[in-house]
Amino acid sequence: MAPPPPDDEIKRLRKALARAVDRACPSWLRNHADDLVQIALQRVMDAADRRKKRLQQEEKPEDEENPEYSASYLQRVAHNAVVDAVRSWRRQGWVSLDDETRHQFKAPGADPEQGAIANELGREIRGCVQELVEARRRPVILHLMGHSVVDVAARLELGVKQAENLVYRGLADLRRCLESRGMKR
Amino acid sequence: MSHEQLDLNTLRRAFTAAGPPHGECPSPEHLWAGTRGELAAAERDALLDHIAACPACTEDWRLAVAFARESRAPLKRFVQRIRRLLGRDCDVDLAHHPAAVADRGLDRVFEFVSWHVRPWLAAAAAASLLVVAGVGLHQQSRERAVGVERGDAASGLRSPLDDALLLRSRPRLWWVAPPDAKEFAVEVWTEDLERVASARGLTSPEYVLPAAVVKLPPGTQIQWTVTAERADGSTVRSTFVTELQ
Repeated sequence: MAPPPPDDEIKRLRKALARAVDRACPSWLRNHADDLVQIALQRVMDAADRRKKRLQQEEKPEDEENPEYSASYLQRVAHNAVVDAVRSWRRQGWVSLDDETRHQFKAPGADPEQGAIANELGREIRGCVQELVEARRRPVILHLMGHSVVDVAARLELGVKQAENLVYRGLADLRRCLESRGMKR
Repeated sequence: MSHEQLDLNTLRRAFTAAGPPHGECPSPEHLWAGTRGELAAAERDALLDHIAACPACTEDWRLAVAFARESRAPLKRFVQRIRRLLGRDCDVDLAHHPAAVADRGLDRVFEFVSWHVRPWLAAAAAASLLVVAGVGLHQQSRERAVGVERGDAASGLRSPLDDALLLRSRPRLWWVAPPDAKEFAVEVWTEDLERVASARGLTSPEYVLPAAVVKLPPGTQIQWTVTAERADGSTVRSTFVTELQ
């Protein structure tokens, strides 16, 4: 088995992962940030171990620096750990963060009545989005998720003016559809 | 009900409200690639279609976007510090410039200068560093703000590969250009500002990296500048930062 990374390296990794988790994970999951960081760190070390074994099998020299420790890689690992935790919570109402400890999670707080209204409107929006003409559908989806028109254009490889037209017309179609379904404020 | 009644914020809140998953959700890796513009068009469209039907993945997408945004934070902090040093009235926007993202070396020098040298000297040193790096920083009077050309809204040049990961299997730089752009030039640098590739006279908004660049070590950040020539003869320019997978 390959030797573990030196302590300094582990500290640096842990710090980088903690920063990523702390700043991007949902507030309701923040109390468990340390567990998520530990999971992410373990994944980094496991991946490094697998890589070393592969290089040994292929009889290739090990790099002096592990390229997988780039900031982008650590961000991705932290993201994956958080999404896995969120999905696990959704599936079961609780998250098993490791084999030994199970943490009870509370659902994100929300006014039940307002939540029900938002859910109903959300369902109708999703129904209406499916009915949009294809060219307008994806620009509208991205715009509803908070992306600016310029961002929509870049992500869908469209011109900015074209994206603007598609979003504008798509939203008009969406509102007409919602109106026909009796959705009011 | 008038259309104004369901304003955009209401629609967005309802659309992004938490809810149960719908069908088989994409992996976190796939979502991550989607938010960073790394998927082929067909995969991207399939992902968006799934998100449109799946409240859970809408939440996951936003989470991935938050992480992606966070990956830009160190650069933003660097720019903020430069802004503070040069004075409140300065409007320096370096976020996409090669010199600004050669941040490791600059950052260390900056730390030393700002802690050990008088502030005015620190400001001068920071400005000198940027000039030496070829930023073309135009320092003007306090009434006339200091500015460095940047893409985005000003130039109309945008690319989802900015601050994103480029897959080696698809080493294509591409961007969105103003409608009247007719020709493009591209220059590619490494972090230490060594120019490793360039091309002129491109008629479509894309550039396939040569093998020498693709072979750079994983994690290498390349800075690439696109200059677009418009129909009226004027040019616009924007610089992007992309990490090689």
